[in-house]
Amino acid sequence: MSKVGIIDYDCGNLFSVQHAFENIGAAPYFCKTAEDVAKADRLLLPGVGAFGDAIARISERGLFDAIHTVAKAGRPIMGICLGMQLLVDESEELGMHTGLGLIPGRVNRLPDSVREQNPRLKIPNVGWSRLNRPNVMDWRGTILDDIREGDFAYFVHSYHLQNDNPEFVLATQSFGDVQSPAVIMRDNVSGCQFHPERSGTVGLSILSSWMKL
Amino acid sequence: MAAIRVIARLDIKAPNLVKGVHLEGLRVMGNPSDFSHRYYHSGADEIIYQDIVASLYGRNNILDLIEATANDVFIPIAVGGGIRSVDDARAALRSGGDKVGINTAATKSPELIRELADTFGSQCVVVSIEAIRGADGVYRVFTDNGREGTGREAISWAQEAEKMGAGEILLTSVDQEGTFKGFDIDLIKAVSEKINIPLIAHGGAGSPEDVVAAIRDGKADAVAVAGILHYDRFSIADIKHALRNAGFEVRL
Repeated sequence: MSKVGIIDYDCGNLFSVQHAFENIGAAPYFCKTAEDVAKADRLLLPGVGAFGDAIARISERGLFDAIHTVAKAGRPIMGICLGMQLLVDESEELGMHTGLGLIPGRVNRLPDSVREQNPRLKIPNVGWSRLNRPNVMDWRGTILDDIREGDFAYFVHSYHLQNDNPEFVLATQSFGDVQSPAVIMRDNVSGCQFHPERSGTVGLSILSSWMKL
Repeated sequence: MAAIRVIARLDIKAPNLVKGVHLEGLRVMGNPSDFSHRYYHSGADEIIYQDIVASLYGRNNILDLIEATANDVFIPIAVGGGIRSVDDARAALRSGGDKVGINTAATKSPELIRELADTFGSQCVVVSIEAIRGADGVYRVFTDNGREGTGREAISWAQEAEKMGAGEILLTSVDQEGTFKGFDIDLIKAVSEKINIPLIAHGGAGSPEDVVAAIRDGKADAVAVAGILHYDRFSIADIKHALRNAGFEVRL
């Protein structure tokens, strides 16, 4: 059984993530130090809160380079929600902040402008949205291996990844006429904007598929 | 866009699930964990646990229950009742809650909303508003299950809560709660028109059609339902089918 390290940097509800992995038969452990991170066969980067705080905590604890080492070694890494956003180059949440840069991209606020078309669109965007598959994307052999197009996942966020690098966008959700990246992937690094650990059986199946990568 | 959410609300008087009328006259319904598992497996989009005695007696027995639920219920769990500080909220989140609901403490000190939003993010902070319609037609904010007046007016309080960083508003009509006579659509509409964050309507659902009205006419983003499920009057699927037939996207 591969060792799943959940990065613990005091940002987010690790317990939901832990319970979800236990439910699919994994035995995750928490990584508080660079040594803990280095031991992981695969790394899960959760995250709730603000981008700048989160990346500062990761750096303070010496985890920034440790995560890069795991990524370079080709071991699977997955980010969830803010954890996915941390994987990309930068975010403009409360000032400009530099991310891990493992996948090209930039995070900004969900566009208020779409609310003029549809006042039912709210920020934060809270709730279950369908996963759309861009035409060119094949989900086989990815974390979406067992997912059907149109399955629902649970999102809660005010910021999102700009859809500037479609070659890394496995799935989107529709926010008005904006196709907002919901799942990204580059080689061994994946990320979900939604919470698989809170997305019922769909979410658990995504975690299971990740365990098989 | 996100589907309309149907949220199962469970009022807890530890260790039991209870249900009242106008938030009072509580009847014991059973083991809350059994109910939340049933609702998870039958398509609930979220669970709300409301500890209805915590803010009166300073107890918070609900943490064990959250932990037991979060173990194998993989949808969002919101926890309300007795949350007065960042530390209280942290304890609820650490037990497996995803969001915290605050009412009494927020009305006494709105700054708490800001503190919670800054610490955990707005998405974690649900401001719960218990509203009662006065003879003058004005909706006023109450706490402690509709017993204590706050001197606040519901619409402006919802706006202030948003400004302070609330991620969602849970709006309860104490007048309708537990009556099965339908939601207070005027109240829901008055608040939803004035805020930009998601609104969860609660209180009075007696039929799937009532839920459709709260969404279609009240313009709520979600509903919290309790008695209609606990007493098996209708299922979550019944409610969602009615919403879908009315043209709303739901997760089925």
